Order: sequence, then C-alpha cells, then structure tokens
Amino acid sequence: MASFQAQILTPNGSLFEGEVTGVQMPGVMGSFEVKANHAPIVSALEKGNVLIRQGSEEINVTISRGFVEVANNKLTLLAESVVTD
Amino acid sequence: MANLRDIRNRIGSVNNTQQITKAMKMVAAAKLRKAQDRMVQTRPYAAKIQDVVGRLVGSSSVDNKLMRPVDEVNNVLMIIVASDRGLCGGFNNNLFKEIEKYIEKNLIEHRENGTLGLVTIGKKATAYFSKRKYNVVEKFPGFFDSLEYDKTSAIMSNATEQFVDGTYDEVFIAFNEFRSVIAQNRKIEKVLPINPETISGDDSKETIDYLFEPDSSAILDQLLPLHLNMQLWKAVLESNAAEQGARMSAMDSATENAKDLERELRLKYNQARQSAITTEISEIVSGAQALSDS
Repeated sequence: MASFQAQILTPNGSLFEGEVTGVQMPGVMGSFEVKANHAPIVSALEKGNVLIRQGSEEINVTISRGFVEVANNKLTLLAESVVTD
Repeated sequence: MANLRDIRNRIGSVNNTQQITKAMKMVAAAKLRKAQDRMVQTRPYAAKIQDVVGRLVGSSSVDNKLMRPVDEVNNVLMIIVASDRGLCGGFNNNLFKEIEKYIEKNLIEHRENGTLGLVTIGKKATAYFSKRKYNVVEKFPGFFDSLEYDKTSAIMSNATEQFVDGTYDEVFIAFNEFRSVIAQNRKIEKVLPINPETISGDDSKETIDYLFEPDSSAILDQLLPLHLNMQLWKAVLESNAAEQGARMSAMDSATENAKDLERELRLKYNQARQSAITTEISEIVSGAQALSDS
C-alpha cells in the first residue's frame, strides 16, 4: 500500500513522525481519512480520536482542537494537546 | 591594621559566598539548557501555524473579528511576563521600567482612570505592580514552578474571549526576549487586535491550491486563537530562558567579584601577619637586649 509522511506537532514538541498508510481524523465537518496522494487540503479539527495506520498496525491518539495540512504527500497535524492511549 | 582574626573570618565568609554563587550559576546553566530545549521543541509547531495563518491572511481579504481594530480604545489589558525569583541582575527591573515608560507615554489616561488591566505572570511582576497601585486583574505568582502550555493557553484564551465580548479593546504582552545568554530584548507587543501585516508570510513561496474544509474563514476562526495561545507560550518560554541566562551571568559576575574581594583580603591578611611578626621579633630582640644588658 502506498505510504506517505505524517507528522503530529504540539506546542511541547513533535509527537509522531513517520511513514504511514492512512490517517483518520475528526474534522469539524465529520470524521475523514487521508490516504497517500491526497489533494492539498487544510482542515480544522475538533476534539476527538486520531487513528494512524501503518500497514496493519494502528496507533490511536486523542487530540484537542487543532488543524491538519496535507500537501505534496506530507501530512502535518497540529494539536494543542494530545493524549496517547 | 585590622585584627588578624577578623580578616580571617571575612575571608572565610567571602569564600562561602563565592561557593554559593558558583553553585547557583551552575544550576542556572543547567536550567537554561532545558529552557532552550523547550524553545526549540515548540519551533516546528509555531512555524507551521505561522505559515498557514500567514497564507490564509495573505491570500484572501478575510475579515475576522480578532483582526478588526477598535475605533475608540477604552479598556486595555497587558500581560506581563517576568520571573518568580530574584538574583538575576536587572532582568525584572529593566523590564518593569520599560513597561512603566511605555505606559507613561501611550497609556497614561488608561492608567489614571483605571481602564488599564494587568495580568502578572511571576512573583516579581505581581509584587511590583500590586505595590504601585496598578489595576492587577489577575496574578499568577509561582507560575514557573511547573511550566505547562495549558496554563498559558488558559490565560490567553480568557483574554481572547474578553477581547471578543468587548471587555478589552487592546491586549499587549510584555516580556524579556531571549537574545543570548547575556543579553535580553525587552519587548512590548500588541497581540490583539491582530495586525495582519505582522503575520502574513512572504509571498515568494510556491502557492499550493488548497481545499479548505469547511472554508478559509472558518479555519481562520479556529486558527487565530491557536496562534494567539502560541504567542503567549512563546513569550513565556523566551522569558524563562532569558531569566536563566540573566541569572547565570549575574551569578558569574558575583563569583568574580567575590574572587577579587578574597584576593584583596588575603593581601591585607598577609601584610597584617607580617607586621605582627616584625613587631614580635623586635620585642623579643629588645627583651633579650635588656636581659644581657643587666
């Protein structure tokens, strides 16, 4: 499966950085998932669960409000605070 | 000539002081390194927010309530970031003087009719401005005991809300910016209303055609508070690093002074010792002379 770069940033530093196959996020208009080669997008996120897929492995984190930017197959997610499960 | 024992005691106490200031310098150096690390850690996040906000503000003629200047400025809020502890040279006092000068020049009416509210972060700022009868609306002594993003974002979110509902028409942040270990820049910045010119990034960057979800103004609504929270967080981190730097150099010069003092005292001590020995010898010699004469 095609993979792309993802990064989760918080004011306290970088929380996650690596190759992923998909990231599911709580957009303000509803939950959505970004896969590789997604069109450039900037979306506001609300409080909720972020699911990071790395092949068959999954990582779950809970974020407060934030936003995500996807451009050139690179996803940058910014959140004010993050709770890892 | 001072008493030998007095001088010896003074040398001892100067030596002790020197050891204390040296230890404090070491502690400040370790804390400075940690503070600088934290500054570095926030940089990617801050840069990204700046980047996206700048692009949004620059690209479209957006109208956001946080960016609208108020015609008549009635109430002003100033958030002052200083330190909890002293022994850091002119770190606090220089900032306070600068703030007072600024208030004198630009906000004197607000100061006089009580429409200038202060939020003081750190024990020193709280003590200084409370004593001088400023209108301190909120104080956070002991803020630097545990430095957390949530605490600063709570303060800034509160200020943002008060700006939106009209309690305050302008919000400032005053803090020490970390320039180097020995130098701080005192800064007084107007954060609200947001001046678009200060955030719009350079246009030279490649423009990517983004999809905005839900739309660009809604994203800006959500992003600007994050941007503001970041501003205060950055100010607090900068101030924290600058404080440790200031303390480090203050303690360094204190150690140097103690060293000089000790050298002087030791010279005095040796002189006094020598003259005491000379006196003793001449007493013995004259005593012996008196005995052999008789």
